[in-house]
Parts: sequence; structure tokens; C-alpha cells
Amino acid sequence: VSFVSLSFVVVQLAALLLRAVSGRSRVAFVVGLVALSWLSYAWSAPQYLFLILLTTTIDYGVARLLAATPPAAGGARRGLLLVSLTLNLGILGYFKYATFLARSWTALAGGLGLWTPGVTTADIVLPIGISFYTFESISYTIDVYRGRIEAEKSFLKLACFIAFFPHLVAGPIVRAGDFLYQLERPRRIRLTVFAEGTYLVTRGLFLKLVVADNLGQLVDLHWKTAAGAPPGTLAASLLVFFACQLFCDFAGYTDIARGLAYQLGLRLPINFDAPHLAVTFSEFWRRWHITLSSWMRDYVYIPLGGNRRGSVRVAVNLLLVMLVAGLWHGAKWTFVVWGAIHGVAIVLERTLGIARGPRRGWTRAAWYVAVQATWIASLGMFRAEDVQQGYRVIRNAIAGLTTLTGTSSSSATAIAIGWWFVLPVVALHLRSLSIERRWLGAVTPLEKAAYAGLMWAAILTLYATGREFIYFQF
Amino acid sequence: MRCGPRKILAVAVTFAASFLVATNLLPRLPLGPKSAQRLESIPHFEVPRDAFFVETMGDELSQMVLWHGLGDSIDNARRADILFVGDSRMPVGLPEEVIVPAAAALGLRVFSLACGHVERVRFAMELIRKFDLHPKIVVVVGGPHVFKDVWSEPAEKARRLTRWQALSAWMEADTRWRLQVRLHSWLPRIDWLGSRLTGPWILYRSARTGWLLPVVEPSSRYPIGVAADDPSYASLLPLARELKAELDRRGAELVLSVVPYGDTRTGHLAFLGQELGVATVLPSFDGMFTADGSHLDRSSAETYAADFWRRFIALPEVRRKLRLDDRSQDDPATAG
Repeated sequence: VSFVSLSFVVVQLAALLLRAVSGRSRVAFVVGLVALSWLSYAWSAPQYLFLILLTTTIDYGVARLLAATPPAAGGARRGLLLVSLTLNLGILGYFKYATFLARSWTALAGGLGLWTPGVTTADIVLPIGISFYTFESISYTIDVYRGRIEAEKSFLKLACFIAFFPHLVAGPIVRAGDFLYQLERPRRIRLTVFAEGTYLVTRGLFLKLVVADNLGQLVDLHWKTAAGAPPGTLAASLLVFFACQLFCDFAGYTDIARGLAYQLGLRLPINFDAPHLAVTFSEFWRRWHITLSSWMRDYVYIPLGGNRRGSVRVAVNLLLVMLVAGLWHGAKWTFVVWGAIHGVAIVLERTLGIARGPRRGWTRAAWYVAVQATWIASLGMFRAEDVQQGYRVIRNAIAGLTTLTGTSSSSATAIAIGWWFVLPVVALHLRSLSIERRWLGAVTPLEKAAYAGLMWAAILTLYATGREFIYFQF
Repeated sequence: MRCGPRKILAVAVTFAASFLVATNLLPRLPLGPKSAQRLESIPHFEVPRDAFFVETMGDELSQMVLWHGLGDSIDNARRADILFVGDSRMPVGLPEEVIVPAAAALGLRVFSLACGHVERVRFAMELIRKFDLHPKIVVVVGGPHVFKDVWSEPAEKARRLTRWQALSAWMEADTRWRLQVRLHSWLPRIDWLGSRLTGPWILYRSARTGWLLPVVEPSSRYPIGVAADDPSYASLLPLARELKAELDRRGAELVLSVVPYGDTRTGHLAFLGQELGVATVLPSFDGMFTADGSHLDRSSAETYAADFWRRFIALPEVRRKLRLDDRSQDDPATAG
């Protein structure tokens, strides 16, 4: 069930009622949460509920076996981990990448007269949220294997961790160690915590319904023109709009998820920390989709050797991680190219020795612009239907900026209006900057109340047509 | 952190003040040329009885409701003697308030399977098959385009959904619309980017008769135009023949007609009537106007529908099939 649906309001109200009536009874709360989480998933995709049950059962069983296997039996433990990884990645791979691989192989081998799969356009429907809950489940088993956490004895608690409805469909990617302990003893509902949750939900709805959906409408309407028309500022404007749309869509989702969890007395990790303040590529990835970046670091980059095996190997590892991160977003060559752009950028930054940020003011400012411009341009690939279209949009945007050719189309007015919807993103980042630099203190309750009034006025009057969250497709 | 009553009051007052200021300020913001801004309020209207809302932000719900047999619509279609098929011009041009009472006066039940978004005959025919409907007469009302063998976008979407998904989508859309009607009766929606909340029409659909019921409609008047006919209508024959064969199997008569619009074509009626051996009804277009260039305005529709019904009910095939002459011998009051 989407957060911006009335069905979801029913689910959340039921969860709040459950929270109120279950008091501090852990069992009733957890059982109720699991039931509601499965129900909300089955609401739109009942046929794929079994996959969540399967993933939960596999990792519950493997973790219990790992707990029962002595550390000395290294081979057996590695074998168990391999079983979990093979099954989890096998399921993810089948649903997410089988069609992509079949099509890519057909394109490559078809011309050479090699064998190709009979069904070239077989579209396997991607179970919603599979990339997120599979990564959560994998991280749980690896953490048990590494001895960082104990294997969970209660199947229901593990099921609650994996299926907890606020984060099930589009994250944040929660770690078992950060979540399971919270189920041990439900906290009392406190007004300040509940109000903080409500504020986060309000901010998330504002970012999604007002900013992301209005900008999304513009981007959808003019994207093909930006790819096909002669160079002009249209393409550059659309790339900025899409960058803001993507940020507000995903950060909005995360805000709602975290707010709903807060209202239930549970904490989810932050996923965005004003990414457009990042001065370096490395910093950007510490601020953007933080839970995915840290997952990639802990479960891909470090096992590959991390920083420990010489500069060439580090560069290869970084490239690999970013390619995997790109592919995680979707089985398309555009995501591979997008990941590669960022992999190369991070490697370049390390090679230049500025991964921690250039020291001088002007080089720092120049590198900041380079980082943000690269991110925005790379989203041309992220949003494109194919690599050629992505290339054309990026090329038109760069050419349009360098020649400052005006937008000749009749859409100039709509594009001009679109820039107003960028302002909330700027304001959000400036407020974060003021806190980071200690120009201003943290946002006070009264300030939040003022923002909330403004945001509700905008939600009720400026909302655009309900689009699905972008990250639902990943 | 302690949260005393004063603090709660201060937060509530700040929220309310900010909300009030913002709701007054936002419509005045000069985001672009004034002409690009629309303040959308939903006017007050009476919701017709036994009817559901069918169109929201460009999404037509009729096809979803009919295809998945939601609510009472299909049960009522099953009981109908005459089924009307076509696109949105049919129920607007042959309005319920004329056709349904006229049919009821003869003891007949009618039901409309016509849907908006340029729905075609294929959708209605598949509904007849899917729900095994057995009408006595099927009246296809529309220009040549209704015999193009394609599904409209809403019909395609409806086919892809499971019944559960359709039911929840319907409930969702219906509840959202009810909330929007209440909200935007006092607080207008601001639209700068052309994504309109409602079109010039606000339509409901009767579950009892299947008719689209406009509760808000445009008030413009555009003259009817008659366009030159296509050189050949032979491409329409396969679907028309398939429909005729399906209705023959069910013992139903097929009748063809058209409701005029901006560039009406009528040549397909004579062509298909002759090829299929079915009756056609072509009332006079004199003095007809559309409200939006496509759908008849209310007064034209009433005149046109009355003329249609008079001609339709006089057709020998119709009288024979509905056994109207037998009835009129028993009861002169029911004579057509």
C-alpha cells in the first residue's frame, strides 16, 4: 500500500490503535505489527507475499543454524552463509535481472548466430520492495555470521524486522542490530515523540505531493522534447527539476517512513542528510541514500578488501561497488552507466587526493560545483529510457548551458514556474547548512509548527496528481 | 523534554496562524503569468441516486467497475432488454431522463455499457461474453471509430488488474473524490501546470441504468458539423460481423445509430446496415449543438433522444423482437 493512499491511512490508524491497546505487551504488539505489515503488502501484491515469508524463513533458519554451529567449524558456517546468499540473491536475481540478462544476451548473441532464449521479451513482474527487504535479510545473516549480533530466537520478531510496513517497500535499509532490540520492550508513547513523527510525516507528504509530483509532471511532459530538441536551457532545467524530484520523492518517502515508525515508538535510521551540501563525491554518498551506501560499504566494499590492498585494487573495488549500486537500482544499462559515472568520479577524486575536500576556498567551491553538476547530469542517465536518450539529454543540457540558448518551445512558461518548486529544496538545504555551521540552532517546536502549517496549506492546495514513489520500482 | 499545556497551546496557535496565512497567501503568489494560474473549486452539486463517480484526474473508472463486475451494474445489465453500446457521446446525447422513462413506459429495461475515453464495441462485446448477457436488442451508437478493433486505455488498464486490485482502486478513487469535493468546496486547489482536478464535466454513472450522468457540464454551444465520409468502411466489417455473430448466437437483434458531434460521419451506418442486414436509426441533426465540440448540449440531447426513440421503437425488427405489437393488442397504453 502506498503511503499516499487512503488505504494506507487505514493501516496506520490500525497500527496506532494496536500500539495503544497493546500497552507494553511485546508479543501482542509484534504479532499485530507483523499481521499489519503482511496485510499491507498483500493489499497490492498478494501473490508475492510468499517471497517475503520465504526470505524470512531462510534467514531465520540459517541464522539459527549459525548460532548452533561452533566458531571453530568455519567451513560449515561459510557453507550456511553461502546457502543464504545463494537463495536470497537467486530470488532477487531471477525477479530483477532474468529478463535483463536474457535481453542483453539476445542482443549480443543473436547477431552471431549463437543460442538465444526463446522468450526474449518475457517480463517478469518485479515484486515490490524486493531489493530492500532482500538486502535487510542478507545483512542480518551476515551480521550473525560475523558475530556482531545474536541470532534472533523469535521468528515473529525477525518477520517484523523484515516486513515492518513503513520501511518494507522503499527503505531505509534497516540493520537488524538497530531494530530488533527496539521490539524487546515497546516504549511508552510520548507526546513529543509522536509530534516529531507527525512532523516528519507532514514534511514527507509535502516533499512528495507538492514538490516531487509537480516537478515530476513537468519532467514527464517535456523529457522527450529535451532529448530530441536542439540544445537549449530546457534540458538543463529538466535535469535540475529531476534532481529535485528524485530527492523529494525519496527523502519524502523516508521522512514518512521514519515519522510513522516514530508514531509507533520505533526508530528508523536517517537516509538523507542534505546531500546537495556535499563538497566531494565521497561526502555525497555519505549524505545520499545513506543506508544503501553504508550497506555497500559493509557488505561489498570491505569484503572486497576495502582500502587495504593498494591504490589500484582500491580503485577497482570502488568501481565495482558503484556498478553494483547502479545495478541495484534496476536491470538497465542506463543504471550501469550511471553507476560507472560515479565510480569513475570517486576514483578520480581519490587519485587527486581531494576525497576529504579541497582546502582552498576557491578550489573547494569549484569542486563543489563539479560534484553537484556531475550528480545532476548523471541523472539524465538515471531517468532515461535508454543510454542514447540519456546521452542526448546530458549533451543538450551541457550545450544549452555553454551557449545559453533559450528554450524556444512553448513550454517556457511551465519551465519558469517549475523553478519555484525548486525553492523548498534550497530552503531545506540552507537550514541544514545553518545547523551544520552553527549559524542557527536546531529547529525548535515552534518553528516546526510554523513550517507544518505552511506545508499543510501547500499539501491541500498545491498537490499534483498522485504519482507512485520512484523507488517503488527498485 | 516536558511538554506543558502552554507549550502545546503555543505550538497549536503557531500552526493555525501559519496555515491561515499560507492558505491566503499561496493563491496570490506570482509564480507565473496570471493566465497560467487556475484556482479550482468544485461547485456544489447533487449526487445522483445509485450512482458512483467515474472520472478523476483523467482516470475513467467505468471500465474497471464493469469489467470486474463491481457493485450492482452487471446485475442490472443482466436484466436489461436493451443494451446501449458506444462512447461517452451516447449517454450524453441520448440522456437517461429521456430514454429510461420512455422504455419503462413500455415495460422495458435498458442499460448502457457505453464508456468514456473513446471506448469501442470490442469492450462491450467482451463484457457480453464475460458475463453471458442476454439482451433482446443491442444498440451501437457512435461514429465509425467505435468499430475500430481496439481497447481504450482505461479498458486495457482494467483488464490488467485483479478483481481485488480493481475493488481497492475503485474504493480509493471514490473516497478520494468525496474528500476532494468537501475540501475544494471551501479551499480551492491551485494549479499552475495544467493538471486539472476535474474537466469541464463531472460525471457519475448510474449503477441501475449504466448511464453516465453529468452533474456539472460545460455551457458553451458549438454547431454540429458533418464531415465527408471515408472512401471505404470495409475495415470496420470484421469487428461488426463478429458482434453480429455473437448477438445472433444469443438471439439478440443489432441496431446501429449515431449521436452527432463536431465532425460527424454517418456513411458507416448505411454501409454496415446493408452488409450486416441490420436496422439503422438516423434522427435529424437540425438545430443540434454540442456543449464542448464533442457532446450534445442538454436541450439538443433531449430533442435528439426523443426523435431517436420515436424512430427506434417504430422499427419493425425492434417491435417484433420486443413483441410490442402483441403487448399493444393487450394494452393500448403501451403502444409505441
